[in-house]
Amino acid sequence: MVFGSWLCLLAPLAGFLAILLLGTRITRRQAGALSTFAVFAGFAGAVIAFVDAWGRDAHDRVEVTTAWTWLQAGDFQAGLTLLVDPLSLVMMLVVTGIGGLIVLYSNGYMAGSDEERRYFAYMSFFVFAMLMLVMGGNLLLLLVGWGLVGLASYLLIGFDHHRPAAVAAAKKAFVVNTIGDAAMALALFLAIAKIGSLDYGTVFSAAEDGVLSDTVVTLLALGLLAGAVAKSAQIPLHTWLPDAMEGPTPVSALIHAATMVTAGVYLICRTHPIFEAAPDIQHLAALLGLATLLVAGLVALVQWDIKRVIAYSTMSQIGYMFLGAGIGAYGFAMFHLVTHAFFKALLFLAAGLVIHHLDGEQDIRKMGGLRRFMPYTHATFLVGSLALVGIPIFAGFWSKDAILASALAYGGSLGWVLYVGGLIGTLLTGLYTFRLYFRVFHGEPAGKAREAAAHHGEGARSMLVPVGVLAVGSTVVGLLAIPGVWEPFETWLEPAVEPLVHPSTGEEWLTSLVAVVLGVLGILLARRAFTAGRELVPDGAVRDTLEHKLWFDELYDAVVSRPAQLVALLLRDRVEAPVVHGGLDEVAEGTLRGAAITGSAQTGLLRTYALAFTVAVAVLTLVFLVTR
Amino acid sequence: MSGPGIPWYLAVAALLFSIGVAGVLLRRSPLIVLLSLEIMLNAANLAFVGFSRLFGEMDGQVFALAVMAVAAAEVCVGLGLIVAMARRNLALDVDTLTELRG
Amino acid sequence: MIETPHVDWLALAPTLALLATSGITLLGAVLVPRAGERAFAVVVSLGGYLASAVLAAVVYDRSADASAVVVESMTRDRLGALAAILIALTGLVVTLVAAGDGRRSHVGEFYALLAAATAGMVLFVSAGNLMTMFLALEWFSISLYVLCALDTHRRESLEAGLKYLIVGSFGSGILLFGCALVYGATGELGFQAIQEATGADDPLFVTGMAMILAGLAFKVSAAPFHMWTPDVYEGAPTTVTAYMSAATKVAALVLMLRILVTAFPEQAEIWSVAVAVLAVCSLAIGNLAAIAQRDVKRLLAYSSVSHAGFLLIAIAANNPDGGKALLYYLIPYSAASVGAFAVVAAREREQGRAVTLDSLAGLGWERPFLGVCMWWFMLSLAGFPLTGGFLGKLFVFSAAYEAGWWWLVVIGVLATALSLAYYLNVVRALYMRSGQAPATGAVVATGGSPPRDRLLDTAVGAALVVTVGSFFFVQPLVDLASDAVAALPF
Repeated sequence: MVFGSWLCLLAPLAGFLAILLLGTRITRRQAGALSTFAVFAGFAGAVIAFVDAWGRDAHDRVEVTTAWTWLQAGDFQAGLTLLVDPLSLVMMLVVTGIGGLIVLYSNGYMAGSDEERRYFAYMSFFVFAMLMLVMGGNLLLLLVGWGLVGLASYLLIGFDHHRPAAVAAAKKAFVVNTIGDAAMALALFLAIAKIGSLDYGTVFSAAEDGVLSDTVVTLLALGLLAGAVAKSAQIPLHTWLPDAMEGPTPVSALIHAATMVTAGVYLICRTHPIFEAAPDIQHLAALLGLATLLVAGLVALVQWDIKRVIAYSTMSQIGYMFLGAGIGAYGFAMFHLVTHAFFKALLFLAAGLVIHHLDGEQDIRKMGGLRRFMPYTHATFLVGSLALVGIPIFAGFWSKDAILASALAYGGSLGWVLYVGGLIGTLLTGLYTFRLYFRVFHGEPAGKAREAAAHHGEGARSMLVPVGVLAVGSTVVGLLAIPGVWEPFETWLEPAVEPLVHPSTGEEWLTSLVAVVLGVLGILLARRAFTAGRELVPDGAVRDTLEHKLWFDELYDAVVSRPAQLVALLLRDRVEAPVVHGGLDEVAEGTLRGAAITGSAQTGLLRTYALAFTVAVAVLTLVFLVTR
Repeated sequence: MSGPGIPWYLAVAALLFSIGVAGVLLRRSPLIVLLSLEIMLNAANLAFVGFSRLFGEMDGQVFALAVMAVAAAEVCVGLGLIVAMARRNLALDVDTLTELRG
Repeated sequence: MIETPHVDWLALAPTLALLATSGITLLGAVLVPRAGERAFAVVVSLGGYLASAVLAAVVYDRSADASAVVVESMTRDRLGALAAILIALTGLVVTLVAAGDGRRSHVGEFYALLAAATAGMVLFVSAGNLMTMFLALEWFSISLYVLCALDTHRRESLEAGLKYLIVGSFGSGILLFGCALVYGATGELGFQAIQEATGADDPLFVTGMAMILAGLAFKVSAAPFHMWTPDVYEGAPTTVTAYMSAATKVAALVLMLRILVTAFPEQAEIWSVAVAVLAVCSLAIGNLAAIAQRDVKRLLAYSSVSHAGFLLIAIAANNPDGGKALLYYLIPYSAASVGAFAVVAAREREQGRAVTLDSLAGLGWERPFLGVCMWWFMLSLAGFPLTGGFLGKLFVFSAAYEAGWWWLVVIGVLATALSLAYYLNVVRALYMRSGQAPATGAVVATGGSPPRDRLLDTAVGAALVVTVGSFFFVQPLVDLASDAVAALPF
């Protein structure tokens, strides 16, 4: 287990360093191969560790290895400690497994673009940083990983540095994440000051034993939550994620869908004793999750950019995970994290195939009818969409419904609010997912699609294989938790994170029934709207007749779709654009303005320097004289 | 025989110091600026010598002597720089030294 | 027979070794044939710095208890010895960087002045009274004025030299007047004696203290006394900038700590607030201004202002932890700063022009080793984990927290977050594709130094080892620092 986990952690690092140090001595293609190999080697390490742990007794699956303690100041000690337990094993497998597939896919996707070496170096670096985050045995190493993944994300969003939009997006992501990081750093500092340790065990037992005052625990949890919210793009720190889609598509798949953005969920699960000691903050996490899943779902309805729709859907799905973690359904939140990693990576990569096929086109109004030209992509995308909506046997069905069932089981007014909100979210998921699906794959092919079809295949083999694997995964991985029948995933996680709620089998099946009905309803509505939309436009005569037939649709339109659209638009224009967006932009702008002012104070004029000096001395002297 | 009291020495020193500061702040010729810097240092010297006499100890006067040497070294470097600039035909005006800024 | 005071030659040895180095190098400039001038100067300097560092280490070893030596003009203690080691090693690394700078004139003088400045600083950190302090300060300052202006063919260098000279002398003038006032108020020059003689609220005394603090804050380049920093750092030869950014800061901060806690402990309530305010100003101005910079030397200059802020937080804490944090912080800071400027120097020699964020593009691919090092230096300066800079900040914040300065901690953390913006900009620039033709052609065209400079690589490598090593081997370093701080009367 120890060997496996070290292999898992160090292989991507080795890949990163090798690419960096070899520099131009290897070809771009070799850099890609090296990176892929390194990440898969990490996966092999994770599998070795997993198999070892699997063979052990349930309560013997935690392995803490301290490679080196380099600081021992009083009680405070810090060292390179790895914690491998069922929770981190799950994350290790996801990060390296899905990461490996995505890096493999990148070999095809990035072929021919400049600076592939830089890309693969960053990707390996990201995988290493993410592993550091999930495997770190104390909060210090968690923070190390937390900072490093942010760095990798920043570098990769701004990868295409010739496009101002990409650079701006990178900066925005950076600024927003910095807020979270600073809050988290302060929380850790508080932990050092009050507990004298950043060791998981010590901090948790301090939180559980009640030796800390309520304020301290609350602040601690709040700081961690702020970090989690920023990293996972939850309201109110969510605006960076859609913009982050400026990065290359595989980056969106790996960092901004499958792994990094879900780090917040991991954080809450990992540090759950702190949150349980501050239940208000934990409930806040759940409510923020609910708000995000609804807002993101509504906003997704009106987006035209294929990647942005998926990005909003990511936010929305992470909202479910926060909801789950916020009511203590850690196992289900983690399970949704895993299934989501599969189907969201799948959706992004399939979208990447589409974008690649259309030479970089991302506007869904210019797509359509791709089903005919890209059957493979179509099939896989459909699998991803069904999994996302939560249609039975596909992965999302099992995981999302389990979270909602937990909300039902949690009870109380909070539980009901979360339950109902979550169900509405299911309807929205169906609507926006299939709006996207129909727009892209059905209907008449738009001009570009037709042109592209003539001289493109669907993509290189290195791109198609990962997509296929992910599609299979999105289908079967949900079977790891069938309520009341076979629940290996929950039993696996239970020794690491004991959940607070246990929904009964009945509650689970009931929720599933309702959720599936709502999901299917959403799909049907999307289909109707799409079909209608398509036929209304071209022909006036047909349109008239259809109008009469479509009272249904208009009713829906008026009752569901229109208000939803209106609210969505309103939210985008009124809330997101000026308040959240504007607020942050203003912060950034203010900073830049401040920077410019400080710069212009530096006139280069010697005498102003002497003057500033004199004034400062005078002030200093006066203050000293007054306060003496 | 006794001269004026220590406050007078201090007052003159402070006045000299202020004149020096004003010179640095107001004059544009680097030569005059150097001169003003010298005045600042000498103001301190005066204070040192005055206090030294007040306490009847030698250390203040030794300090003043050392400062004179330092001041000479400083002026040497300053004049050397001014000569180097004059050789390169750069204007001898501290306000034109604005190549480096921002 | 004249009675002469007892002289503790061991305490003076680190300074004398460097002074001798300076003299020999200067002689070499005259006596050694031109072809061998550089090699001679470099070898002698390296030997001198090494000897000085070793002697300082001996002093450290043999001065478990602080004692005033040479008529109480000097303090022989571990604090001074540790700082002297750090300064001498900085000189060593800078000499390695400078060895390949392609300087054609003033070769011997450069190394002689560098050694002289180092000698001054080594004496400065052990100063035990106001006179030694002022003389040593002027000693290294005047050497630095000349060093800044040494590239007389470059207008910027002359401008930087003159600016530094005028503003620096202005600062020394204020410092000196402050010394005179403190002397007038107490009748004493020795730090210890001042503390014993102090009348805590004598206006003369307090004014003097404010002026001394201002003069030292100038050397630390704390805002609002920092305005010379970016101009001088940009204009001075890059090796000199590297040296100043590390060595001057070490010297000035260590002495500031020493004088404040030995001479002015009674007024701690007043000066600790003032130092805290200076720290906040430095953090705010340094970080904000750095964001807007394109010139890398200027960017690093503002970064050094912001680091002055972090370091002043440690002084403001006014407790042993603060002193320990200060000394520890200076180690990775000096290494990362010298290293970063060394990388800039390498780029400058390669391209023959000032290094901006744009011209830094592609360095990471053309010179993988320098690229990796630079990226660690930036991360360390930003306080990223896995580098000494992270622990330095952590210690500083803990010390401030201990002293009850929790708002300083909050500001410090925010400043750290803000500083990431420009440090990461540098990292990003390193791995961009350069806009122009491959640099291999440019090297020939601009006629710079040979493409690979082994001595510089060694220097950068050493800086990297310290930067990263100070994170992993933090325990022994912290022990050294706390032993050194034990000499101070907290």
